Amino acid sequence: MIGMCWTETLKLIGRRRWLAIFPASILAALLNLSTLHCQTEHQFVLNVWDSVFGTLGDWISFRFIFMLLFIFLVADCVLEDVASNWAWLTLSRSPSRHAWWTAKVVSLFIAGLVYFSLGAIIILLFSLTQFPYAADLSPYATGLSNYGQGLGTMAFPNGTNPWLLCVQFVLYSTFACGVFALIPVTISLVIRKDYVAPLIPFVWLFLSHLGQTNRLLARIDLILRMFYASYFHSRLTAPISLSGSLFYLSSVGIGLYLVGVYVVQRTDF
Amino acid sequence: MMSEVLRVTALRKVVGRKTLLNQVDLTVNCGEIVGLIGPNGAGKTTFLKIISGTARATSGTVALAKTGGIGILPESPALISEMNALQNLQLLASIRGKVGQQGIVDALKTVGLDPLNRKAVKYYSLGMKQRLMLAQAIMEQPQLLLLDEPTNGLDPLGIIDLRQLLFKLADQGVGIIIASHLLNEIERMCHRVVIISQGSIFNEIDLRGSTQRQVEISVSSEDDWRCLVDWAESSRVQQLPFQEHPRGLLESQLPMPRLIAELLAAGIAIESIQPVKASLEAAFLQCSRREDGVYR
Repeated sequence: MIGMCWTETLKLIGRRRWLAIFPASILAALLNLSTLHCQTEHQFVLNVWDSVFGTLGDWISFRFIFMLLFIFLVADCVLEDVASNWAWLTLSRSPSRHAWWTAKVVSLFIAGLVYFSLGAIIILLFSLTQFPYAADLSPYATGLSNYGQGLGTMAFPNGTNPWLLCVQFVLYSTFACGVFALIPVTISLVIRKDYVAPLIPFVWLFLSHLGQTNRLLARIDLILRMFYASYFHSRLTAPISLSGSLFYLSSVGIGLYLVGVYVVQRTDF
Repeated sequence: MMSEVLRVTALRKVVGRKTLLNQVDLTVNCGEIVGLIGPNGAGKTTFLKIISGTARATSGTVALAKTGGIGILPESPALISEMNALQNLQLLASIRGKVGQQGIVDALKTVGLDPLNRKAVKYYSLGMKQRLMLAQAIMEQPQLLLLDEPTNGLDPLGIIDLRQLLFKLADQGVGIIIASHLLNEIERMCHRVVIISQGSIFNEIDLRGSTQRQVEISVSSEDDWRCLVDWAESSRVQQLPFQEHPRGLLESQLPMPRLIAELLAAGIAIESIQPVKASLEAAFLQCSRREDGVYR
């Protein structure tokens, strides 16, 4: 099983298209930089973490850069395997179809972890060229934050360890993106059209952008809720709790996994 | 009696309203090379996928020998193009964990690839990719090999290498099924050939010098031909297109001198007679449809 997960993960992240994480992360950091530079004009003293968390926490960037790119990178993993006959080689070697699907799901989350870890490192390195390093969050991040003007920017508690916060950002984003990527991947088990897998999350994201709300759990603005429902809170939106969010994400993830288990037992590859 | 590595019984595959495979029975013994031929869409790849467990049968059973696994060579190379040959094999080998580094290196050498070549496989020729795919199929020393169009992209030397390798594997007891369109190669490589058409086994031909022998015979006149048909019973004679003289294929278990003597004794004037191997092409054409002058 471990070997299967290892194979699937390397297959997933070993593709050249993953290089897109570099320009995407820098683009997101650049977009955030313009906002931050406005704040320096207001005499705020900023450090590198303002840039890092401003970028990672900006939901426009999260949705339309990180999330979309991640979907682009992984959504066709089943389709490509079937089309290229790779699934034939791996399925016949795996102990069961159930194990094969489990390895696929696990590899999605590992790929997400690699993706966001790499993204955070790139953003950190890029931010270091613009702002000084500091061991703590700036006063601006912990209390004075007012940038974004409705973009849902977060304020962090005083004394927060920025490294720990960064790890939490990465883990939570990984979990959210992994669950979201499971939607097209699971659908692609049934609908074997190249364009369907990436198209569904794209449409979903744009629709949720138009109809955003934080109040109803059942609404399609899944991503917004996923992201802002962590322990840190948005000043401009009413978050659901971390536990509520994790429960919601876990339910969706487990549901999709079980649907996949059912489908792979009955489908041809 | 040879031990079986595969026994397929009453296999049936239906997708929607279309029957892809219908009541297919097949047995492959240890060390036997079985060719699988048939027109495009006959169900060859589906059959191989069902044997390997990648596709589901609607009904029927597939029984594999308990020891050893299956090695698969798909029609098109399934490789990670950014990785080199060794990395590709290491990745696949890590799933079962049955073969170590040395086994992988040996498999690469067996198919004529350099294990030290660090070039990404996207720079490989089709023939090299096919050799690499063959290496992944044999590296775990399976007891059954399923090869779908194994000669794709191979140059003549590559085909000869492949043939020799398959003979060697068969000598070691590996059962092999080869699906291919190259009838000449199938004839050279296989012990037995199964012709599959429209999802069913149309014909099965033993190529290992069976008791069934075919001769091509040409006789002097139409009267001689009728005489031949009467002598041989019509079911054992197949008329070929008329050339200078009436000619056809005659099936007989008699040794050639005795056959000639008996035909002459029956008053049949023979223009020419020669033994022919079981003609796969002729058998293959029997299961093909001809529409508007084109075989379908």
